[in-house]
Amino acid sequence: MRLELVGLNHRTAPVEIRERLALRDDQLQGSLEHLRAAVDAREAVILSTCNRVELYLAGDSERLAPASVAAYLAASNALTLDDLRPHLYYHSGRAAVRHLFAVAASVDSMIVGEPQILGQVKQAYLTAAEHGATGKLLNALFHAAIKAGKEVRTQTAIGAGHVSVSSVAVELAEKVFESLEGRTVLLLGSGDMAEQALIHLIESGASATLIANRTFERAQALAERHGGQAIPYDHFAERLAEADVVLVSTGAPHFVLTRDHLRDALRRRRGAPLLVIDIAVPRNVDPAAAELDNVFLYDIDDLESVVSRNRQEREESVVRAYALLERHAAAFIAQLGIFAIEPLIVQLDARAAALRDAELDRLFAKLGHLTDADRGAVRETASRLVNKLLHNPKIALRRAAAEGRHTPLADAVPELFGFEEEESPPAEATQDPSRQTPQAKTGD
Amino acid sequence: MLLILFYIAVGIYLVAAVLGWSYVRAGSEAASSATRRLAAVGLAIHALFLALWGVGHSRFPAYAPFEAFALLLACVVIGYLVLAHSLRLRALPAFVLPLVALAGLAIALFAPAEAADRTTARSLWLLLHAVTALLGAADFLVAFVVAAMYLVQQRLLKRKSVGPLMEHMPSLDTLDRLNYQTIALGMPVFTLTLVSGIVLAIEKRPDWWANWMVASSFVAWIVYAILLHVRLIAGWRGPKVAYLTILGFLLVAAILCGIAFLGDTLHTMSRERGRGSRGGGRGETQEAALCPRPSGLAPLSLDSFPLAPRPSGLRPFPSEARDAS
Repeated sequence: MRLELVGLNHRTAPVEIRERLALRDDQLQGSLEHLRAAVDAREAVILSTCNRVELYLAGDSERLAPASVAAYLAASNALTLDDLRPHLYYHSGRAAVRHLFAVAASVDSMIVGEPQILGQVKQAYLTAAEHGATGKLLNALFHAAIKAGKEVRTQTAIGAGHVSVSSVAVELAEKVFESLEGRTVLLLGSGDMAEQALIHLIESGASATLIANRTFERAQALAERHGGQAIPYDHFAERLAEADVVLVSTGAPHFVLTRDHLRDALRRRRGAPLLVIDIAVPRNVDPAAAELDNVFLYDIDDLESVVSRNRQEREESVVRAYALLERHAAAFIAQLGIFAIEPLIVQLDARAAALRDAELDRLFAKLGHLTDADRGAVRETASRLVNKLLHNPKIALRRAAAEGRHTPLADAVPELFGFEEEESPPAEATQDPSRQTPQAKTGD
Repeated sequence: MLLILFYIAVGIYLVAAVLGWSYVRAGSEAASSATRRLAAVGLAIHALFLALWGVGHSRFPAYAPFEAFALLLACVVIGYLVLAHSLRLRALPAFVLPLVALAGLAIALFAPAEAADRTTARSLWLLLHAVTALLGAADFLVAFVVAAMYLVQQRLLKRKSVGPLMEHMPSLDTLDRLNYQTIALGMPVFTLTLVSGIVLAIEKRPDWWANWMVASSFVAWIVYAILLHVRLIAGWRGPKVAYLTILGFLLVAAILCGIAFLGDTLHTMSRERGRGSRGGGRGETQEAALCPRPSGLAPLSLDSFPLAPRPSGLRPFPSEARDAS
């Protein structure tokens, strides 16, 4: 049985292509059925996230070839093959294993170490399994991949530290206030990054939002979008004491929030701490305010430097992650060889049994005087002879398969045992890389 | 021989402290739970030691400086385990356990193991004094550690050193709230310690107030009272409160060290009736010579406090004590 992977991701395909191929959960069942019928795959799992669409397929059929999978993908998404082909990558056998392991461990993600992908891999597998689309090979493969992904998460720092400005802001808030539940955020100004941070703070539990903007309508629009309260810009200082977290991002070229503003707010807050995040460039909060006790002031550079340091740390742990993944992949590839060799052994047994039966029939036709007991004894001897002859080749094939070096032996079997008239060539899981397109090297 | 148990417990605390730091530095969950388990094992051995020690000396182990401090440290470890469990303050052991281990080593080496006068030892006032002093000191020690952690976390936030240390330390809010709770809890206990101590001291000496310990206890009490006041009335929060907490505990620690290592007269004046030295090095005669008993003072016993309740388990031994004196 062969393992094939055809897919595309954020590196090989633009979002217009990815969103056309992406499947909703409710479309998965139908797609799995169509796909398996179209390429004659015994097993199939479809992994579809916003950054990647990957088809994992297992089977023995001739039709299960990258070209036909690509053709199916193009046809089912109303694309021409020429439009789609440059974005696809193909992996077979061990390369496919390594690729899935890397995906599950989040080393292949757009943001290395992001935690969602492992859950998405698991969900993709469970959905396929529920619909009966998986079998021995993909079951084993996905179990191993999920285990490897978990291990990489727990044993390396790949998921450590926040890698976006808004999540760093949330982390800081949680280090000052423990939890954002019941806390008030004041947004002064607007801007994409400030709004992102606001959304993140609200998602983390912040319960009230005050929004002030030079244009009151803009504040109202923002307030409506995020369930907050718009306040007149000129009165923000009066409401400052209510805020636990202040996000500042106005276009003003001067300090909007001064040390006096904050000292006054602190007094009215009876010393309760205040986290001030200045996302504006040029800065809008007087840096001297940072000297006040219980004021924690961070500007965009502070946040960016945390982000870039965390990114770098994650990149560094990628090397360790790959080493771990390689161990897991090698262990699985040994199993994969066994999956690959088993059909050949079945074929070998069938071939031997057919020869044996044909020879016995000829013998019994000549020696018509034999009793049933004699025939039984002869049949038994013939079977034992065949089994003994095949015993060593089978052992050797299985051992070579477990060690991943069965290709030359497996290739020799049809020739040695005269399979040429048989219908399908022996199963081969580890296709050579010549069938991969140049961009298809992500998983290795 | 029994002391070996105590040293083992201290050794385990030390190992747990190192593990605690590895959690704070690297965030390994395994290290965190290993710290907790190890500290619990240490506490079990520590408790066994105290029980055997108490049985061996037929008294509640709070009458001689060494045993009282050993009990105090056990209280601190219990406090840490409860806090670590209920509030998930997983960074706490990194700060508490080194203190416990060092203090344990210091008292095992230097604190006198002899109890004060036996008659005195059975007084209810003294029991009240000893128990509240223990609980209060353990509580203030936790407040001190929490305040120190507050200052560390505050400094990390101010200096923008976002990293594993900041991530694994509790939030300022939690530390500030814990500081308030521990001090609000410790204050009435400490007040009882002070009152019972004064009652005992008045019985011992007419000039009881002219004593460095009484004076510094008053100052410490005032520091904590100011602390609660500025927090509740003036709404102080944050670093100033933390500094005051540390000041308060330094005074408490000085008093404790005085009792443990210097031999404060109020606590040792009846030492000539001590029960013998643990190591055999410090003789009773030497103690008696250093701390002559003031004349004209009746030994304190339950009989001195006719109004004090008498639990059935506690009986004064007037005959033995008075015959000897």
